[in-house]
Amino acid sequence: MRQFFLHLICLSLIYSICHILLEKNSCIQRVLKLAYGIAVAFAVLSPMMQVLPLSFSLSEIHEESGRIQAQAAEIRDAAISEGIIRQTRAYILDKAAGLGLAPEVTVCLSDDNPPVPESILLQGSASPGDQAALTQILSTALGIAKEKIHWTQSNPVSGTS
Amino acid sequence: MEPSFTAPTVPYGAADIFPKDTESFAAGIWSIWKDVSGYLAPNFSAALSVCVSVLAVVLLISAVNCLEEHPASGLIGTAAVAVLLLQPAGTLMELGEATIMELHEYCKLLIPVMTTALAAQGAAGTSAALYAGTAMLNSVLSGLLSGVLTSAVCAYLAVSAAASATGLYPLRKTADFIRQISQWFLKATLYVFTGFMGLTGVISGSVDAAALKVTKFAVSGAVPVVGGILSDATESVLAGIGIMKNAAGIYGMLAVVAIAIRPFLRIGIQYLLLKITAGLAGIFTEGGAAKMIEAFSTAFGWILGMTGTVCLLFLISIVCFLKGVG
Repeated sequence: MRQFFLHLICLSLIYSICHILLEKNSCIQRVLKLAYGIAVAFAVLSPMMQVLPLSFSLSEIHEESGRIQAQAAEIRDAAISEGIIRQTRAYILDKAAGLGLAPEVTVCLSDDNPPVPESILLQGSASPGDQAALTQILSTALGIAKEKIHWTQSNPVSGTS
Repeated sequence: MEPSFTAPTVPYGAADIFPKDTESFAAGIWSIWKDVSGYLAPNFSAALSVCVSVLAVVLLISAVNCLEEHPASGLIGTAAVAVLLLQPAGTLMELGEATIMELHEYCKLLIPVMTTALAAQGAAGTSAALYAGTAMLNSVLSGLLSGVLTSAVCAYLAVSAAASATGLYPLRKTADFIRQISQWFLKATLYVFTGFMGLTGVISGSVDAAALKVTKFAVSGAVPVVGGILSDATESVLAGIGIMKNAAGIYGMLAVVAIAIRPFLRIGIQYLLLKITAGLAGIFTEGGAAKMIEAFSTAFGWILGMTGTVCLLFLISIVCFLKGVG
């Protein structure tokens, strides 16, 4: 496109110089005017026959957009999963406190969308009765099967079950 | 870990007038204007001195023509005005081009942040469409405006100079043709882009809003306690992302204004003063000098229009991202 405008400038300057030098209203001057008009028309129309050299590719934009969508979905899903785990832990600790327990809670989410709590690991000292009571409460409230609510006793020396 | 969406830092050249508090757009604009108002007087003086010297040349030629009309007075007047205005024109063209490129580079970093934030809010369709529109605009602007349209301004001035010096009708029509094609292109870009972004926001936004509502109802209806947890977690995350997106958008808009305002004012002041000068020169003479001044003022208006259009288009695209869903 820059070349197109340079050609236009050159044509116009050559025409104006020739027009000044030639005799006024002479035959040659009229022919020159006609030739200038045809040359300008050609200079204008010829770039339109070619594809505009625009520097973007629709497929590149589409790929980049897809990458951004995937990244955004990952960020959102990770933040939501973290929020679900945090709120589920808070709920479990609240119910446990009602029974006089203070276990360490680990919540595992399913792979569904949206993810739901799938299993719970409770770590701490509790009598079998208290464990069963808390398990029952959580199973009913959270819809998790009792087999997926695990209790481990913490080791007072090593801190592991 | 909380998601984080932050706008890219404002470029160094605009950092001195960028507001410290970016929570409110209106307050930010007022802060920028207060910082920039001290910039007006020196630019006004510089532009005025150029216009006074041009007017002096026109007066001198008119005075000489009063004594004895010379056939070459049109050519001499055109050449004198062109010599006086060529350097300011070149400087302002470079300034306009540099401003457009700086806006282009900044928005290349900002738009993906806004797109990711909007997509993370759940507006996948809207964000994809807005990103495609803005990315295409960015490519068109960098490819055409910075190279082709500035060449068009040079071509227009060159052909106008030849037309003013010789008085030839075909040259005058060629110059008008270049001006009309370039102005048509600018207007078409503005209308197409604004229409696309506006319609996309309305249509895709409604679809995304409906999809989000359906998802929310499905989630909250699953199991009472779990449903409540899911709903609360989702809402708090989306609300947090929305706040971050709005903060990034306002920062980005203030950055775009801070980048463009000084060049825009400088070109605008020169354009307005030259327009007045062209009007005054037209009173004294109808010759080549007056026509040349008019051509330069048109060229300056052109550069002003390009810079303002690019700034406006980027502001519109950021607003569309901020509007988001619904």
